[in-house]
Amino acid sequence: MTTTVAPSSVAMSDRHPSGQPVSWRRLMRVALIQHRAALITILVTFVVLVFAIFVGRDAVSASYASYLAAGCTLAHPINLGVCANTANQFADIPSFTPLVIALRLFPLVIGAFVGAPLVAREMESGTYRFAWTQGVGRIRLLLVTLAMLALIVTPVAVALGFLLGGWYVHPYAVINVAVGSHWQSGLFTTTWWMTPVWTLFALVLGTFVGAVVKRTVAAIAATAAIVGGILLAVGMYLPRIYDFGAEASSRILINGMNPGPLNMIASHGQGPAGSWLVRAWYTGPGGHVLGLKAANRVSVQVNSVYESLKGGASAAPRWLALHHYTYWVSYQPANHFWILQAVVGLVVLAMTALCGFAVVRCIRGRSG
Amino acid sequence: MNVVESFGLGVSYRGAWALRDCTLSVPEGHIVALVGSNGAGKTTLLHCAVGLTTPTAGEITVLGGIEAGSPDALERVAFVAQEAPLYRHITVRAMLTVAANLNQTFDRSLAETRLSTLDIPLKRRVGRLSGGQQAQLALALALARRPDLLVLDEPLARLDPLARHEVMAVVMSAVAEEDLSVIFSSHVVSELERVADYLILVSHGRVQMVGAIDDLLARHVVLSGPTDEAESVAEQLIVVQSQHAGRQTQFVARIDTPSEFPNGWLAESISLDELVLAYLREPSASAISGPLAVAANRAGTT
Repeated sequence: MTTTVAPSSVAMSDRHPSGQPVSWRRLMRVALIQHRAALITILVTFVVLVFAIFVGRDAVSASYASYLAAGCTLAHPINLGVCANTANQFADIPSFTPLVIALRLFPLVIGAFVGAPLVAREMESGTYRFAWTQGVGRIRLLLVTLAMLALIVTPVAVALGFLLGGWYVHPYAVINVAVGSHWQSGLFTTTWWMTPVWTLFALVLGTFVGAVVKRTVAAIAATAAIVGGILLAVGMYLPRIYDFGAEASSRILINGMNPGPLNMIASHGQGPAGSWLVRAWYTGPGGHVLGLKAANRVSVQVNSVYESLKGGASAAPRWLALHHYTYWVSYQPANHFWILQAVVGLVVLAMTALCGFAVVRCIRGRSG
Repeated sequence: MNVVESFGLGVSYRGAWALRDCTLSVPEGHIVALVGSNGAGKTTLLHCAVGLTTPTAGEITVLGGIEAGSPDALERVAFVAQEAPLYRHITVRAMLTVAANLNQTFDRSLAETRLSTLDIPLKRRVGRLSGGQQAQLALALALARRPDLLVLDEPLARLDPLARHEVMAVVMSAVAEEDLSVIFSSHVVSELERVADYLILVSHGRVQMVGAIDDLLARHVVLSGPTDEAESVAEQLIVVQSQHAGRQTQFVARIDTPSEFPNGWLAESISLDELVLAYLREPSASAISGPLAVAANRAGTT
């Protein structure tokens, strides 16, 4: 049979006259409609964390008030016993560690529950066959969607980092409690700068995993495992990162004078204020670094000398000088903190860009 | 202008060819039926045409040489995928908003008028619409883009007879109103016969037959005659398929030039259903072969 085709009311080429791309505002509107669940996930997580931070803040404020009421300050610890007890209360505030863990997990939540389903759900439900055949094109749609989510999660993550930082940073800095030092891995990765950086990385990585796995639940699980593994690895290897750019001093004496990793905040008289002590080692008469066994032997002798001669703090350095040994401590000065933050953050952002590039490659070549 | 043109097109998934050596051209202004058994490669071919699948070999263009899947092509080609996948969690109205914002050209009032005519409520969630309503919604969204080429992948597969009729009525009405070319796939020939005027038959990943349906029907006959003469008669014809039943033999034969049939043999015109079945039963038979056939085909239709 033959179908009669009526004359065209609109000429073919006149139907699409502009040739201009769809504006990003219109695409943002689409992304808002399509990813309402993701936005709710972000909002709920944010509200829960903010609530927890404010609740925890009360405990910190109360402990800090009692610390000040006892007349304790870093410069003038009037009553050392009371001050030590109050300081210990800080370390034992129950909400602190869970909060830090929760904030560390924030990128994981965003990566797994916002990033991973982004493409995986489209692939799984088949709606990619609708979305990717519209005039806007799949790559532009993906990039605008990712940009919109990034624009939302970034201020949220910055706010969380600021709130946690603002909550602990002053009292913990005054009291100088090691657990509250921002050099600790948990706090180093949850500053107002690192939280959004890791969150963006997790978001884009999750999107990539979703595009590869093509199944929502599997993509969520895989993203959680990968992001969790990376965050864990960063926490474990942070002391090694601190080796970069560390300064060394032979004037810092640590109780016990043990060689090896230190990973502690420089307490009063043990190095520049606010610095993070990274590791310690001994050098021998020729200036060469002693191996661990030899260094441990020296350390044992130094300690026995320290205890037997009752020569106070100067006895150990005198003994070391007599035997041509030197005790070295490497540390990150306080002013290196934000430099290291910037370096690590930029590395993570570079990884984010790589993941973004991989997503685009994957989507462009994806045949369904 | 050809709305779809492919040369040596091939798609393989993990080493297995879903589509191979596909060379064809489809002139504009037709309603094209893409026919083939399940797994023949129809969807793969359509996905290549709309840019969802990147060919492993060869090339495919649309609307007069535009690369399939390019921004120009996406703007002018509308696609309704198998089972009409839409966002089930949002309302029909939101779905319209999504589609309107994903395209430079989108006639929202046209879509709303079509949906209103079909009694599809804008407030209802897409997931709560019936299969027929979802198909109609997907079709309305595609037509509102005012495409030059509409590609439909098994649009009628899930629908009851009434819904099938309604969907095809919408397609036919759109074709009548606009200068629109349509390609739609199906493995049910009977539903295509009423609307299509051009046929592409795909079998086992290869294009087996391409042409205007009237032309294809005119070039094929069903011949019946005595079995003892079958061999000699077959030598004079291009036999697509033969069936023997006792002393009687039936051929489906292709006649490229007007010819006379042997005495004692009855020649009857062939239906589209019979023609398609004959080719599907004989995958080695072909009504096109290579670029020359495509060129000839093109010359014959312009």
